[in-house]
Amino acid sequence: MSGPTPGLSRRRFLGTSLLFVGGAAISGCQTDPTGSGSGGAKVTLNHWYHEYGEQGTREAAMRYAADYTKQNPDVAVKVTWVPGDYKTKWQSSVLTPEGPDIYEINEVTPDMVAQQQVAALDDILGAAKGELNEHALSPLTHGGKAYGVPMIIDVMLLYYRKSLLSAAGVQPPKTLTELVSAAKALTRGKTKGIFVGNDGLAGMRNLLPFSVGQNVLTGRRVSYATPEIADAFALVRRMFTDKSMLLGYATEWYDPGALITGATAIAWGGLWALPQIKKELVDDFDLIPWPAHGPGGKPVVILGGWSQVVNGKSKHVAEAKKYIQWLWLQNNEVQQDWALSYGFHVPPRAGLAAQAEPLRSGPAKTAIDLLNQYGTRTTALWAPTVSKPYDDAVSDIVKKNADPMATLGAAAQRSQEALDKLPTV
Amino acid sequence: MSLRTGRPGTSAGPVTGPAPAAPRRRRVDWPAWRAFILLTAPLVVGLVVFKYVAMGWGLLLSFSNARGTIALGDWAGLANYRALLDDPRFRTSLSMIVVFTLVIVPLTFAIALGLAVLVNRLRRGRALFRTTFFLPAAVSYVVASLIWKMSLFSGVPSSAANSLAALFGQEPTAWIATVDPPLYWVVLITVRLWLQIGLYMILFLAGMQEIPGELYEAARVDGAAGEWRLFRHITFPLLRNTSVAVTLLLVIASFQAFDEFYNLLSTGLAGAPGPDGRPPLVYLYDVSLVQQDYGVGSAGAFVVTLLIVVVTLVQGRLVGLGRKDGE
Repeated sequence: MSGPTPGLSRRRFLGTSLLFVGGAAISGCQTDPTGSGSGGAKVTLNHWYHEYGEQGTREAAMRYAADYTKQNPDVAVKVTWVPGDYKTKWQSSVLTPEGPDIYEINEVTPDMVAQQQVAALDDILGAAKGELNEHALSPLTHGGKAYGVPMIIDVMLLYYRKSLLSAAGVQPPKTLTELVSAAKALTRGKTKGIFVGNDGLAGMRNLLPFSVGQNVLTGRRVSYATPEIADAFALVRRMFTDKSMLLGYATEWYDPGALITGATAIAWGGLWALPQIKKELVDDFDLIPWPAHGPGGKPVVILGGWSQVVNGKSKHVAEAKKYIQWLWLQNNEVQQDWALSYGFHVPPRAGLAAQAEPLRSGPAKTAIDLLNQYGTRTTALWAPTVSKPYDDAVSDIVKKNADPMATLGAAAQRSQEALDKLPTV
Repeated sequence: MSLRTGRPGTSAGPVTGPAPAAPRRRRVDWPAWRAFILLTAPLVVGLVVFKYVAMGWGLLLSFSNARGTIALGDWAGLANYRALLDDPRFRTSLSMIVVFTLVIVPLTFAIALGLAVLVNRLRRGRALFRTTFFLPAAVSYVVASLIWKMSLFSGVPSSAANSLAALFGQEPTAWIATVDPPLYWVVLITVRLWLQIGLYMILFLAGMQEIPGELYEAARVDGAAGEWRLFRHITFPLLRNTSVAVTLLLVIASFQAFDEFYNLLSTGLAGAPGPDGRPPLVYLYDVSLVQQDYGVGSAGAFVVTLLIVVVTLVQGRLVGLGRKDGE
């Protein structure tokens, strides 16, 4: 081992080491600003995105930020691209004063409003509010006030492989009973009939109540413990037990890999995957809604998607609102680019959705038509505390043969207790 | 911790010579104290800020209504503890971790000890085998879980487990999604065994190398023939302290299980695993970070900590932790 460097005293060595460690600790705590700060800006907005899978999205987000700074030199935007479990990360960060000024969410819970994690945005929505898709806006709305701006709508429905269905002599199913039979008939060789998620539940858990013509909540009342919903889950269990479901695949339901490779004949998926599916399967696929069940049932297409909110505790609420307004309400080019240049999503503004050329033909048009006819989703009161007992009950029914009605009944009681605790905002 | 401030060797060991002169008042070695404070201060500050303040805050939060916030002030008394213990899913998570502990602790103990005995007997290549068995301990739980989930135990026919099953004419199985019967336990148990056996094997090996070889020679001279008898009457009894420590560490590690449950069993874009893969820490992660109820989450953290302390103390009493040999 070599001795100390000549001229470097122990005291100085120790001091330098401490400074190094301190510097390393501070730099380790910083987020990853990938964006386009402007040196002369008076305000820097911190803008968080979750990691989008489609190539080019990150660069696009940074380009929008840079364009905004060009037009508004006083405001720099620091884009932070958050990989992995994004939800947990933003939920933790908004508990502190250092949270992002603007961030993406799927829905706004009453607790978020009560804790000022979001600011009301009606003043920037203005006339555009009436033009926004009602199902995209409803999970962001409390007491008539909107707390987010929808940036994209994700349409979720069933994809199927035409060739596999015709080889098995199966018609595209129109009822849940037909879907169960079709899944069984399509399970041959290395192909399974249907893929709704690796746990056999993910994609379909929340849509089944809609498919019998009911809802999980009716206002502030939990309404999922009904014989019709219980019956639908009992039927779905058959797909699980007769091994018609693809389970434990390498990727999750939101990736079209299982359909493209032929590991499944029918797959729950999103419109975002359409360009990739079209590229790989060309014409060997089509789209259908999740089929209806029972006398009052109706087909279902679920709306998902992302919205952007302003952190109510931000020091720059006004600047953040102005930036969001420019980005998602005034700038048509940005919305078209974001929705359609990377994967396929639907712009939340009706006018833009209608004009979007790539959505006016072929399977994309089918998806839009189905969305307009059958599109729905749960409301803002379907918060994680309320939905958790339901999710657990459904898992027990489908995977462990728990009595459907009794299990849903017990869960509904717990969901109602959680719902009663949600603040009225 | 003590600092050496007097002459070495003046206090240890039996005094056999003439009685030493009465010690003079010791001079405080300030440079040594300064160095001690300087070097330990960052650690102590870190410990206070990130452990004790956080724990104190957590305790206060456990008595607060803290949905979507970690601010104090909206006191709830014992309501969070009542809500937690009233939740059947939390009680299930506790029983699940007890079952997991009852399976994983004896299994790891037995396999690690068996491997240590085998490796210890090797005349050549001991270092190679020791390193080979220890290597998995350096692998992250997350990485190992993903390998188990996506490659070894995935549900497709080409996965390692299903390929092996096919040789025996078995159909492909969805190992992780099958909860009735609970096949997901095969995945959970094997990944943890793979990850932790090497570490405990090293501890046993270290313990074995402390046993004097003369004992075995004497036993053989006395007619104790056979490896099993030597193991039973010499090796295992003399490994008592190591065995106690290993069992203690295994039980604590088992109660703190999180990584493999979360990474193997969670699905979708976010969110904790379903009800069948939710040991206490995963349950608390879900309550705190998904449902954003930091009051109930903090209450749960203290309940689980208390449980670990109680189990450790009971276990320590049963196996004689800290008792000297022969007591």
